[in-house]
Amino acid sequence: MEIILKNVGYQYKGKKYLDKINLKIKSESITGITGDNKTLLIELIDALTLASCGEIKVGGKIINRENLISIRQTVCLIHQKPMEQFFTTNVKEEMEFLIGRLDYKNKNIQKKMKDSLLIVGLTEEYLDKEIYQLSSGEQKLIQVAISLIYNPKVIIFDEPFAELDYTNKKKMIRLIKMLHERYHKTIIIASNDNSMLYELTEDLVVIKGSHIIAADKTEMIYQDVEFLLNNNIEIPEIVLFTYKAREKHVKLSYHKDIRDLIKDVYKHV
Amino acid sequence: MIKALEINNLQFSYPKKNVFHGLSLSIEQGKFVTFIGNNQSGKTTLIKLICGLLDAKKSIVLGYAYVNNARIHDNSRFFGVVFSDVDGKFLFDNVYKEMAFPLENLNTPIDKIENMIIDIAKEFGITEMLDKKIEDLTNSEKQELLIVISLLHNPKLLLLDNALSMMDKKTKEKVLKILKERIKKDKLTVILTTMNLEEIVDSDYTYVLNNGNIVMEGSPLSVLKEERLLNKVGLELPFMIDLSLKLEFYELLNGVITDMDRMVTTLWK
Repeated sequence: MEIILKNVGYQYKGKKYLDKINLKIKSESITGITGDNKTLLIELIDALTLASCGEIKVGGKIINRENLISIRQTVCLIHQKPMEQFFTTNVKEEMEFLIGRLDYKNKNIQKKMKDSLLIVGLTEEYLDKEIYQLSSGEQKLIQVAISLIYNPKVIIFDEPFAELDYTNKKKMIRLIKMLHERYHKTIIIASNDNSMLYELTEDLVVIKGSHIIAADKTEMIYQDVEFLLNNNIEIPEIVLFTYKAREKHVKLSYHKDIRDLIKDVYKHV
Repeated sequence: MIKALEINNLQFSYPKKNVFHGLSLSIEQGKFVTFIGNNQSGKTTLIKLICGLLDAKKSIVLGYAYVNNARIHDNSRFFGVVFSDVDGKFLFDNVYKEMAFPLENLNTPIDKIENMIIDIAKEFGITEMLDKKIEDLTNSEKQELLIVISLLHNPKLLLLDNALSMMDKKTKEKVLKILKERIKKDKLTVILTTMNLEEIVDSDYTYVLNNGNIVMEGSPLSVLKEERLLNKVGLELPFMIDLSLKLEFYELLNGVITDMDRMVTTLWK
């Protein structure tokens, strides 16, 4: 589902946090957002916060006060700290609560709850678990599972990898890839983990202060090391290494996978 | 061999969770020993047991005395401890006062206190920090200050619980270098727990903790080579270590280099 932002701005008590944001997020793409005020921007797209000016179109619908609920059914936001977002203490109760809140009707609701847990890689036993007893990685997965019940077209992740250990990080990456490839979701990832964005996303948006300073193919932005240095953006280590080698007139090409890089190094040593 | 620390069949559980079920190890004086493991592996609990904040029931010997939480004041001259959190760790608003306080507690004469503080500030190159307010320090500086304070009374054993986590790269290198000098000169023993595998490279010995058990131990290099096992316990190889080990596999490099510039100059002179 395509998302278009036209001249969007957000100000609070006279301070501009976002200004003149023009952006087009392609349908069924994986887009990364990095830099300042990214959480605010994704909250605007999820209609959690309303923009001060400009218009945001989600799949042809312009966000306004009347269609908030239907926007939130199409766009789902997975928060960085899921624990703060749960209303109840039990997984099943939480799912039922959300279904009620979004006025979602489906005959096979029980089956849907189980299926959505299976999709994110959890068993149906999780329905009876208490949320506070789960690890933060599992809580994030539960949040995704809950959202899958009403089948959103757009899923936004806010710092999905923060606080996750290696195993859970790999699970989350696999899940995001699957949601994109098999279920054709439009994925947006707001993160400061530039190495991960470089590996995972197709398009990238960089915000500095209240403005977008770059919106392009991910590779194009991350391989422009001068630009990253000038704007104080952390450079993915694999890119930085290649850049430093190239400064020494070694003809390495940019790679995303470390194994490809090694092969290239092998040729040039 | 003089032992700085000996743990014999350590058993410990929280009201609802069993952490250690028979852990035994001993650490020689004047060594730099690291413990790695993911969240929930028991790292912080171990440090708390060693310094007597939790009751180890006579299974830990520090130097020549049992750790006993009734005698925590006697033991505290023997060790210094720093935890990863920097909030709520400071009692005063000024760096100098904060540093003087623990020495005053140990009945150090006032003129001696001033000399000790100036000496250690010179050693760490933070003389200009002394007049600053605590609230103006960055998290990296706060962590550094906590380590400096813990070294003020010349402990025989320094316990660092993930205490380098927020440091920027330069500060971390500097602190590690100073610690290593002290290890050589004063026979200081350093125990560091961490999730960041780059921090273990320079240590003498590494233990891998998982659910309260030691699943692997040995020289840091031998531990790092077991990538599969590390991944299994939720640890990820940082880029530079991954790169070093893969290059070593192709016989392009000897050992591990964590500094990128040095890596590039080593490969292409």
